[in-house]
Amino acid sequence: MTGTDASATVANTSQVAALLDAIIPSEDQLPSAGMPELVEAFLADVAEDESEGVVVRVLTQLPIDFPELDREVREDLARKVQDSNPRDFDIVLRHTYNAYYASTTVRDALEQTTGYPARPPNTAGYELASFDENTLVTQRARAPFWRRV
Amino acid sequence: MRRRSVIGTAAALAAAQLKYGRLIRDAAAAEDLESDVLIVGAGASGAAAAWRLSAQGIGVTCLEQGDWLDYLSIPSLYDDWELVRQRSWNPNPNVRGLVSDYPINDAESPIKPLMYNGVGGSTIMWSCHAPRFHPSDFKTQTLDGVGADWPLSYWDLEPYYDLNDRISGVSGLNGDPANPPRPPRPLRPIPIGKGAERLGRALDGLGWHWWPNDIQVYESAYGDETGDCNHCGPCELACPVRAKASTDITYWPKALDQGTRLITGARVFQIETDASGRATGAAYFDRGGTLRRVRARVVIVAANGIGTPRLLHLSASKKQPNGLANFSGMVGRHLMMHPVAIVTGVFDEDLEGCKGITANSIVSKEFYETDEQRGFKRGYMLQFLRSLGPVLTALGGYGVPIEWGRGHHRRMREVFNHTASAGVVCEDLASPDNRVTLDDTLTDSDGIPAPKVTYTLGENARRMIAHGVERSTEVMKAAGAKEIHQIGLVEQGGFHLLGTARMGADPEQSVLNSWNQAHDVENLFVVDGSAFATAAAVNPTHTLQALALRAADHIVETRREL
Repeated sequence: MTGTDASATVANTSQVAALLDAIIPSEDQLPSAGMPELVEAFLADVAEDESEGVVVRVLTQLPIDFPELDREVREDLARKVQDSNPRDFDIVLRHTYNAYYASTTVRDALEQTTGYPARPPNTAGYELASFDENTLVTQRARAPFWRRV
Repeated sequence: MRRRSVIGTAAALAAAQLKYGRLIRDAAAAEDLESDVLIVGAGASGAAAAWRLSAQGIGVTCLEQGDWLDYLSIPSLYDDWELVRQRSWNPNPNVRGLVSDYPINDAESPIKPLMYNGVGGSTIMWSCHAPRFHPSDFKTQTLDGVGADWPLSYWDLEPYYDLNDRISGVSGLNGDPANPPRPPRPLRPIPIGKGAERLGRALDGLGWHWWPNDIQVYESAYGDETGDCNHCGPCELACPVRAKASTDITYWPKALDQGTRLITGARVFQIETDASGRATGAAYFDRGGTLRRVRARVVIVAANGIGTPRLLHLSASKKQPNGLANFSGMVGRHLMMHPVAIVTGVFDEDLEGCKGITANSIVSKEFYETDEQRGFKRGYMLQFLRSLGPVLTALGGYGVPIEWGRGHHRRMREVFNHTASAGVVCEDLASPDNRVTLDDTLTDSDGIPAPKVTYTLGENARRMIAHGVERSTEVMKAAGAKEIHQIGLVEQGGFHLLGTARMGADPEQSVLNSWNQAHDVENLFVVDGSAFATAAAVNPTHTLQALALRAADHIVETRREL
């Protein structure tokens, strides 16, 4: 493992991808957050909040050869960064989750694993069974208990 | 109604120039609009008042700083809906930062004020719960020795609750033992889903109350402007199928048909008065920054519990140096919000938590009324919530931590769609130290001083929250939750902004009389949540709309005296 990269930038996408992969690795159909389209989405989300400086502060705490390390090692190193700078790391996590779970690629995979439809809530919405008034039998048997005044 | 001439037009312009530190173009006085009644704010209560007045032949003009909602812009139509809700559709105006918003200095409040500015006001972003206050909410001083009695009773307001139900439309079910009887609900209850069914059985087992809340979501369409609920989930991001009662589709189309004039992009910065102290209309900046005026014989302020005291403070004059209608010194004081805690259960069963409205529709009033043995006065409502979408679930919404790294996917499978939550909605007892003032330095985009909120959570509310969290935890255990998580106080929870121009029988201790009419300025009315003497422990929109309808009737009945 080499020293940290004091000149890290968000333009170093291999470093960013390695970090995102440590945060959300691939599993079965679900892709790694470090795949190129998700790194791009991450950087767009970061730019939306002008958080580039925060990301750079996190990257500068990682070794220069971070992308070459085993995934488990990278995760352990990232946890050390989180311990030393939780506020910045939380911001990186937020942008990672934003990019990941708003991605149509991820949502397609999520639909396969959870059944949650890979589309926006509207206008199709969802089917739900009508309210069953029989569920209120116990409550209907209760006497009024609001205060009369 | 008597007519008064506007005085000091040039002086007002000069004062505005000085105040806002920029050159202000003044529309020619000939362009001033005239109206029988001027309403400031096109939200829940302003819309209701406009409809009721215009239905009775009163000329109404409404000034609204925001715009009509573009229904094609509603986030839930798009894949990035959970990202947009964190930014341009965030309920916190300080985060949202739109031109139609004004900033709020909320640094001295543990609960951040939330609102929406536009036609429909915060009903655009509301979850549509429309319960009535309980009769006891109007008499807390008499019954429990806390708060202030309202100068009217539940029964005075009941006909207007009924009227608002008819105009806005409401889904629900009569027969609730926790509330006084009411007419049959116009629409059947909305589906409650697996999570709430499970919680309902748990509440039955504990011997505690639950009931489908009155909610202004349309399980089937209610009138020409509306559609059927498709159970999409995020009502709080506006409804693209028009299945919820935001006033842009309920009251406003009717009010406009009756001749009401609605001017958007109009930022009111002063209620103008004459030498006797009567309101004569309002001055505002239009979209281009030009100063304009509407003259009116009656002025109604409906700008919410923060915007209204801000405007009254801004309207100070030589005759009323502490702010308009503020001889009592009560304008801005007694700010009440509903402190909210959340308890979330994670269940083995897939509860399909993302289906159906997020704020759900069942509530428990078991702990609503005062029981001295609990260690606090008054009470709280439990409002049960569904799950969040995948982004907000991953971000730990409702307090359930999601780990990252090698365990992330397993954890998401355990939590996503597998949660049900209880919101502990607490009655907030008014304190004169909880208040809205004008900030010394912060301004909006027109240079108008922004409001500052100073708020401390009271000891009574702290005890109430602790009790509610314990009881909610019992509910989750009884329902079979395998994990339970608690948020003791929700920071981004200040949707209900109340009490800052409160009603009361004593002009020394209140701003408004029983008709929402200023004690000090007979032709000035305040009809938003500012008027509340107590906060109750339920969502306030139905009550403030009922008050607005009632105040409108009073204006019509007394118009020759005003």
